[in-house]
Parts: sequence; C-alpha cells; structure tokens
Amino acid sequence: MSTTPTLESILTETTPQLSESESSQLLAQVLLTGSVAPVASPYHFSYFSFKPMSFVAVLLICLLGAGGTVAAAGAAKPGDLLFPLDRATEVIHLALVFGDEKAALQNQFINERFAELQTILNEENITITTASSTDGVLLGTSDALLAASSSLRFTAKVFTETTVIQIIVGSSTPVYFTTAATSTAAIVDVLAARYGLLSAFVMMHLVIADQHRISTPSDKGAIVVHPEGEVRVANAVAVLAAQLAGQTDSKKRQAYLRALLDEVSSVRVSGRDDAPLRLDTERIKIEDDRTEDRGEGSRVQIKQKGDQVEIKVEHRPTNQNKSEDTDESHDVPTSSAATVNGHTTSHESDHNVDEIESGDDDNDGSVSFRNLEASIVVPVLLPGRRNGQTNDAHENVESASDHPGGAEFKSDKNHDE
Amino acid sequence: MPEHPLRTIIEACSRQETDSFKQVYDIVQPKVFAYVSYRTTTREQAVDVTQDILVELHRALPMFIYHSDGEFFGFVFTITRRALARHYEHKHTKASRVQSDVELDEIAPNTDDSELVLAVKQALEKLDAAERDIIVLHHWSRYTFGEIGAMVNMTEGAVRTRHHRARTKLAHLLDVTL
Repeated sequence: MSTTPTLESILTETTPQLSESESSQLLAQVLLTGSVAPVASPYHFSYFSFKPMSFVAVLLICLLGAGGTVAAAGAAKPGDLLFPLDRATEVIHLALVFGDEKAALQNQFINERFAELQTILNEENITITTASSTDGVLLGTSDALLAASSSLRFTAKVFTETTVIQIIVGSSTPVYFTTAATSTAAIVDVLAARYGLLSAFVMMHLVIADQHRISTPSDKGAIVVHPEGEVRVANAVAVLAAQLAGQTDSKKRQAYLRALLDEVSSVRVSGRDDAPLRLDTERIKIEDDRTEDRGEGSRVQIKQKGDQVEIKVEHRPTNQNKSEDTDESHDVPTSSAATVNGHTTSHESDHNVDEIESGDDDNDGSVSFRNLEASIVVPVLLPGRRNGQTNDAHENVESASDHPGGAEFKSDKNHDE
Repeated sequence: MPEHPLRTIIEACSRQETDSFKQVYDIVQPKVFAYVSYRTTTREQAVDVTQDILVELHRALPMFIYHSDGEFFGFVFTITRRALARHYEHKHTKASRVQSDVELDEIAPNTDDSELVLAVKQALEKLDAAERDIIVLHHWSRYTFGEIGAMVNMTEGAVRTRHHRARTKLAHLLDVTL
C-alpha cells in the first residue's frame, strides 16, 4: 500500500547534504585554510587601518629622510640643487640666535661661502699651459708634459690652509692649482692622477716647500676657468656678496670684501684671451636707502632700494694721484659686461671721486686690489616692496642670498695707473 | 548535557581549544550547505562557497561573544550572505541579484539536481523571496522559527505565519498533502 508523500517528507528527502567523506574533506580544508592568517595588502591604506606603530615608522622615515637631506644640503655649493636648502637652514639658524652668537654665526656662514667659492674655483680651474701655449691655448695632456720633461718643474708650496702647486714648463707662464694634500706622497698622487703621469715621473720633477703661513692670492697665480665655469663662479660670488652685505661688523665686512676681490680678480677665462672674470647677470639700478662705510683707504658703500642691494668697494687712489682723480670722475660701470680687474673703463657722470676719503692705503700688498674699483649688485626679493622707507639692510641681504644669480660684479682699473 | 551547548562550544572556540571548531562545524555545516546549495548553480560551487563561509567563521569565531543561539546563527547567516554576494560578483553571473536582499529572490537551477529536487525548486520559485527563505531555512537548514526570526529580522510569530502560508502554497504547487 503506497502512501501519498507529504510536503514534509519531500522537503526532507530533497535536502542538499554532503556525504561523510565530503564533510571530512571540507573540514580539513577549512582548518588548513583558516589557520593561515590573512595578510594585509601593503597597498591598502586607510585612516582606520593605520596602526600607531606604522605612524611612528613613517614619522621616523620622514624625519631621518629630512635630516639626511638637510645634512646633504650642508655640503652643497652655490649652484647645487640642495644649496637653497642649505641657505634656508642658515637663515633659520640666524633667526634663532642674537647678539654675539649671531655675529659669530654670520662669520661662520661667510667663511663657508668663501670655502665653497674656493672649492668651485679649484674645480673649475683648468690647468696646464704648455711650452708652446704663448697664445693662451690650454692643454691638459700628459703627452705635452712628457714631451717637455727636460724643462718641467712641479713646485708644491704647503701653506697652513692649503697647498699650492705650481707647474712650470720651460719659459711659459706658470700654472697653479690648489689641493688639500700636504704630504709628499699625497701631492705626488694628486699630480699623477691629475695628469695621468707615473708617480716616479712626478717625483723626479717635484719640489716641495713648507711656507708656514696662510697663502695669498699671488701665491696661487692665475686661476683659469672655462666659460661654463665662469657662470658657476659668478653665482658663488653673487651669493657671497649678498651675505657680506649682511655682515654687521664694518671692518670685517671690508676685510671680507677685499678678500673676495682678491679671490676673483685673479680669475681668468679661457677662450677669451684670458680675459678677467665677468659676472653676466642682469643689473638692477639702485637709487635710495643707502648706507656707507668709510674705512681705511677705501669706501664700502651699500645701497638698497626695495628689491635690490648694491655693495660697492672703492679704493682710494694714492695721494699723489688724487689730484688727477678729482679732475676726472670715475663711473663705476653698470652694464653686465663690466669686468673685474678688467679692461672696461668709463669716465662720466654720477660717481664723484671727491667723495672718496684719503687714508692709509696699506693693505695686504696686492697690487691688483689697490687699483680696483668694484661694485656688486644683488637683487633682493622681499615679501613686499617698501618704497620710501628705510629698510633693514641685513634683512634684505638675507633675503637676497636666497636668490643668487642676479648679481653683477663690476670693477674698473684706475685710469691713473 | 549543558544547558547551552552552543555557548560552551563557542566559548571553547574563543579559547582556541582543540576540536572545539569541529563541534561548531558539525552544527553549522549542514545548515550552511543546504542554504548555499539552493543559491548556487552546481554542487561544486556550493561546496566552494560553503568552504569560504566556514573559513571566515573559523577566523571570526574567537572574537565572537555569545549571547544567544539566534544571534549566533544570525552571525553565520550574515557571513553566508556576504560570501554569496562575493561569489556572484566574482563570477559575474546574476550580479544584479546580490545588490539587495530583495533581489536575491531566485533559485539557482542546480545541474546536479534530481527530478524531484528540480520540481521542488520550481515550486519554491513561485513563492515570494521571504517565504522561500523561510521554507529553505526551516526545512533544509533546520533552523527553528526563533532562529530564523533573528536571522531575517522578524518576530517568531511573523515567521510562523509566513511559514504557514508558504507551506500551504507549496503543497498546492507540488500537489501533495501538508
């Protein structure tokens, strides 16, 4: 006797089920898979999934990274990518100190700029003139030196702060470069590496002399740079000049400016008949807001107006020449083609030499310095222009130093000479 | 036998005691598989989705705090629905069904089904979604009306009423007695 199926029995009969073996297998799979902890995607980030330790790690990385960058910027030179960061750090340091500490820090930073300028000059200094290079053609081949072996002489003068190496080939103009090496072996290595020579060959032609004093520019001879290097040197000079304008101690400022003039006046540019250094930058005229600093035998003049500052160093002519000077106005040339220790000269107009004080012209003995007039014009980028107001010169100069490159360095040879 | 065996088992799971999950598995697996089978196309898919659900449950269970059986089965049912939603999304089949509970209203034809099962599924398809879920959850997954109420957010009385209506309709459709 068959019974009619009920709904209950049909639903029970059709219930999907796993067999024993399937169930066991599934359990094993679940236990195996479930025991492996899920790994969070490294690409997934959300505020809620952000763990405190991750935050600390990210913060540390940022701080260390920033610290590393700032540390790297400390070694940057003008023109380098990180140099603005270096300057920014210095400006912050200066803003945080006062009084004597600030002055000391300013001097430290100016000395750094000098060191950087000297490094750049050394890096850009192209080296050797051969015996046949009377026309100023510069060569750097070891073959030229080997060929001139009989008349070749390397002279290394070890000064307290640097070593100057002089290379003389026959009767040609000596060539100089500086190095940090002080020992004989190190100097030989420098020369051998620089010119691709054997150490024994260098030793044969090397004379070393200890000087027990600081070097002077004349000890270093002429520094010859490529036109490309000239731009780099010009930039470094502009940065340094801007910082010098911020120097509060007038005597120190004068001394630094003289040193700067000494550094750059001996620089020559190859390919332009060894012309003096030219700082090809845009000139910006300065009218008011001027300060003057009359020192021994020279006048340092700092003018500023709104977004620019001009540093001018005028050197007193000798007493016997002064009468001639007063008859003739010396215009500090203002075009971008003006040169240091150079050939451009102008005679007219707005600069009256009568304003220049007489005084003792005794300086470090540099003839070129004695006969130079120079001015440096540096653009200063200020947050807002303050026409008609007397600006703080140092504040402006600090700003200017963040924007190097717009500087002009000009100098005239005295006509009386 | 303890008064609340499920509580004891779940608390053992939270302490990660050996074999505690197997006891949960023995309770949950037939219920989950039955419901998933009615929502997937093949038996193989049903096994895969069930495995995903149980793996997720295995990982989540140590953090689950037991309050009632209904709440626990509601928790399992939530995992089940999410797994099914993911299954449909990944397969790109019937994707529209997973957008909401209302849209999850069709029975997937199972190619492994017998004629009787197909007949039951066709009859179930003629019920509305809520009634169908109640029938499947009660008769295939063996949940009580109280548990179903907790799972689908209804009172037990409402579930009973709907179950009664659905059962009458289904018997009529299958031409069987109640």
